[in-house]
Amino acid sequence: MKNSILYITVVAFATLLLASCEKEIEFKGEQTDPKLVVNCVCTVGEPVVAQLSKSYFFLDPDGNTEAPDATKVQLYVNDNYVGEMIRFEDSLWGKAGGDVLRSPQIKLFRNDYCPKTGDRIKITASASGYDAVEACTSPMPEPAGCVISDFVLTGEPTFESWYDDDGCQSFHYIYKADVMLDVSDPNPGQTDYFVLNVAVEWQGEHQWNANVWAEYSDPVFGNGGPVLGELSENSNRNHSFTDLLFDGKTYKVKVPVNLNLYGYSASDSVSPVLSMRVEHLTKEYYNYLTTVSLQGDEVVGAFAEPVHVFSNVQDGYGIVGGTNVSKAEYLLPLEKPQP
Amino acid sequence: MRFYSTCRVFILLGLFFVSLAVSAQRRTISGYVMDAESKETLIGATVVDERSGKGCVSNSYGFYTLTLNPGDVNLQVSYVGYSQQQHSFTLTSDTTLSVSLSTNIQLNEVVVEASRGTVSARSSQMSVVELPVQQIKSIPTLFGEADVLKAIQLLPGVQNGSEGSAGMYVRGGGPDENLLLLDGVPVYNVNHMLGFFSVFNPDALKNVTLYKGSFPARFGGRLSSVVDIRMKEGDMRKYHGNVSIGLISSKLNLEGPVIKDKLSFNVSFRRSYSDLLMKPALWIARMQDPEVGRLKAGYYFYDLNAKINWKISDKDRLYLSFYSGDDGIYFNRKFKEKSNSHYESSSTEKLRWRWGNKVTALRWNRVLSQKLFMDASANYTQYRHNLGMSMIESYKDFQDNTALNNEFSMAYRSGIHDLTGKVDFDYMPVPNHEIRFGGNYTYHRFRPDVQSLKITSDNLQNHSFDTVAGSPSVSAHETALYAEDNMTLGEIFQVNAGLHYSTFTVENRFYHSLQPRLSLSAMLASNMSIKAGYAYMNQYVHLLSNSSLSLPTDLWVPVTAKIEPMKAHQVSLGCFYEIPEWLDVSVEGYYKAMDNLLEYKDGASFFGSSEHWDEKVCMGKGKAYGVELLLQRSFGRTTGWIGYTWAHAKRKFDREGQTINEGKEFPAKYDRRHDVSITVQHKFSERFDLSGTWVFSTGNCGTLGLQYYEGLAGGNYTPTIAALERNNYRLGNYHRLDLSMNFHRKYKHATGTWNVSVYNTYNHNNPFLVFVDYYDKDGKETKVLKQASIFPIIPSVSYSYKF
Repeated sequence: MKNSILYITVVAFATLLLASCEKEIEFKGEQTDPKLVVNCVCTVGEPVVAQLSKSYFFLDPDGNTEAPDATKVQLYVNDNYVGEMIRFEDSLWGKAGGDVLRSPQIKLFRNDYCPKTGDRIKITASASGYDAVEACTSPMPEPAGCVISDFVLTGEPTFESWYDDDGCQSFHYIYKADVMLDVSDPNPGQTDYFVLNVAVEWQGEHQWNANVWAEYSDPVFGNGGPVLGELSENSNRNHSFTDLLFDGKTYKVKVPVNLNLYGYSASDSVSPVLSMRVEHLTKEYYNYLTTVSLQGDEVVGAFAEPVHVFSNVQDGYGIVGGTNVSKAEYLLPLEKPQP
Repeated sequence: MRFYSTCRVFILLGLFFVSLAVSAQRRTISGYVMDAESKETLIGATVVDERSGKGCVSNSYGFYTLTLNPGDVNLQVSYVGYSQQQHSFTLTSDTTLSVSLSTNIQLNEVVVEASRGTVSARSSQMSVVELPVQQIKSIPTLFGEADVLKAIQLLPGVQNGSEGSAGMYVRGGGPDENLLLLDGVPVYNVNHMLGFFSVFNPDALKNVTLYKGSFPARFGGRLSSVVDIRMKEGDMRKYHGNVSIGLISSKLNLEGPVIKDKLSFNVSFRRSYSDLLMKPALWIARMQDPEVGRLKAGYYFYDLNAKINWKISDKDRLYLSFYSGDDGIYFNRKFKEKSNSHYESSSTEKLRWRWGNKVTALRWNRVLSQKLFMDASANYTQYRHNLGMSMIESYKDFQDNTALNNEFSMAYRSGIHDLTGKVDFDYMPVPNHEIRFGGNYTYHRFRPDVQSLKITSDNLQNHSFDTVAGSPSVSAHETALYAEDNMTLGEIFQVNAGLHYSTFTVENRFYHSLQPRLSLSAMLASNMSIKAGYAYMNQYVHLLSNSSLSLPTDLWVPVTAKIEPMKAHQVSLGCFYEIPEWLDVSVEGYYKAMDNLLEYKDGASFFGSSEHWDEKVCMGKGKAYGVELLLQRSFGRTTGWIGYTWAHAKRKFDREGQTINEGKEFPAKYDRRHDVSITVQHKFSERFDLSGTWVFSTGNCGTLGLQYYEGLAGGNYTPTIAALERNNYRLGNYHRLDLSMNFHRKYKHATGTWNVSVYNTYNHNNPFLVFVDYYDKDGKETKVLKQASIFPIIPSVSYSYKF
């Protein structure tokens, strides 16, 4: 009898304990209206391309983000009207396997003006039923120094080849290498903002694909603390950093890269180039990148104020920022695999 | 010009006090009020001459002084929980009379009236609550850890932060707007374990008083509250001790005479033991997987309180108080691998993260005359936060005869050091004037954030990097002068009027402010009064925090050329009623306007930017108003209180380049409309007592993204972003019942107590956060809102042995 009472007590207590944690609740707040969304990163020397969409209510199951068809987008440089931005379709836009983007609901607008260092770019957008929106960048930055000072293979490259069901021959190269990258800060005494990207670009026929991972632990590039992360383009982990620890100096960072090159029916003219890109950012773009990478961090989300992703679009959402790209390239020592 | 006007005001006040001193031929009775057994002084004891109706209250060191006309005197001395004493004699000359009160053995037989001088209806002071330490210890708490700040959070006008945390939000203020004084010295970081416990060990404490408005002029430097905590001085006659073992920590308290009736000590130590409990788990992990290496890791906190009390003579006393407390996280891992004669590799990883306070006060009390009491002290307080990480890797190849060494170390340090010299005087020239005046000087040394980095690497090519960065250390000088007079005007009115003048010099910038303080009280009946108060407060230091939790990375920083001092004007009005022999009732309303409040800019963080911290924050305004009801019973077998608060707290950051929430007004995070707390303790017998706390409050404000949108598309990734409007959503109501039972067993020279506590007895799922969840309903994805809770029903048990 005593054992039964003890058993019932333990079960009742465990049930109470486990009944905690989470439950579904009814939303009792105000339902807000959608707004226009403008996203645009202006790059020095390249035409201005803006991405237009709209927001949706958070419990809306459809989550439609397509901007109205009659959305009007205009471009200003240094407060001078440059012209309307024209809607265009990118051939790769929204298509699986494309190189640029995956969301089919975002509309693209373009103006052929190519920003110069020091320009302030302003974009306005309006559509019936929505508040008109506008956003402006701070002056477009100058380029940062970016040099690959050394490239050392950290093991023998591996090579595989096989035939698929159609009889085509496929190849797979795997490289592991340490890349020493020298990054120079162009403005001593001033806060500068950067982001690092790694990619493989192709000279010759584009019959190869590549995946690049760079895993490193570096206090500067890890935003002040050692961060192990992948430098891949399908992640919201961007590697933005400031000149906090190398203001006005040249900083040498070791980036261990892991290269996967694969293709089929290889051409003799293929030669892959490792491209290390250091982008010098405007402050608003840096703010956006740092906050967007923090959003969704579970630890932050659970215990702290949710991260407000930086937006400089008045009466709407999004980011209009600028960047100046410096590129260091290294021709990978690829020998054509023998079938 | 304004500085000289201020000086003139102080000179006039001085002349006024001198004129009072020579105004009449009266006699003064003065002395200490003490516990009869331990000779520990009693703070806030009431001393009243029944014949004339004149009275006073013992000060923070138990000293009282009462000036009366010569003649027969019938002096009544009373203090809560003690038997009242009467002394009848003829007053012909200045008299020294120290009174020793005995504790009530049978609480229901002796009734103490007018026992709480500073907080009763008869006092001019309002917005003050005294919490007996014994009551704090009996309040049921999370994991059974008695906690001063959690007890204070149950009072009307005081909100807690997130569930379980020790953060305090007083009358709509922020967590850094509370001046927490341990023996008169500020303590900067008051939390252990991310704020789940406070640093104050109740075993070491004697008295806790909360001021939340209508501040006397002697206090300054914070906008919203002052918590005056006094440590026990130690029994002058007998040795005592107390050992407690709980789920989270264990405590040891010892006190006694070094020289009987001359010199006493009190020492308390508390330490958590989660790191010690982790050791077997780490050992098992290593046994199961040798690649784990030699691993040491854990979290701990400890407190050490010590106080020495030396009664040099009847006129002189010396106190030395010391507090040291730390939280620490450590991680050590050593790994070594050797492959016969081919190679040998080793790695060592270390993390040391420590933060905590050190507080020291050397205090000299001297009775300069029957009417004048001096308290002079030299104080030191320090908060420091050190984070250090290092990694050393080495690799030796015996075949190639090559070796590689890589070393990386990084440190992050922040902190604040204060050195203070202070002198306070209590002066009672005539019966109707109780004057306090004094001043202090503080040298502040702020080290907001220093990051250092050292890299030495043989890998690839020899390269090394060694740098230090962060905001530079800042020195600041703060001074304060004050004078206040507690005046009795006839039979009905009492006024406490004062001025607090403070200066702050930092980076060649001089800030100063003259802060008037006023409290008025009108006795409508012998047990009923109405009171009104006004206080202007300034604050020269800020706490920068990214999180609602108390993190060690939170930075204390001074005002700068860009960041001006925070300011608050507060008015309050209240009615106080004592139901004789039973209950005190008070109703208070307040309105507080705040300016230059600080918040981080959106997306800014304390770490990883070369910007000076004052570039990362913005300044704004706040306002708070509300009504508080308190019914409190502090003596008898049943004690406790019922508190209710109706409140609003708002913020607005709309200055150019410093907007938050697009410049629109938003509710403060802990803006709660209704807040109820009921705390009851009942002593059934000498062997058993029971206590319970029930709290109810409107839910916290939270930030919920009501609109979602697609971020900047790039590569193969398009982030989905929540558009956030600050504190736009209110969580569900919060309520909880905690119960605690004490079973006492008396031994020949000791008492053992088992404490059984249950937190959240009826296991209510209190909201901690809400989030959107997705599920499939009839083949269609549906979104729902979900609420998460963190603390279900939590029982705990502890044992203490008092000897």
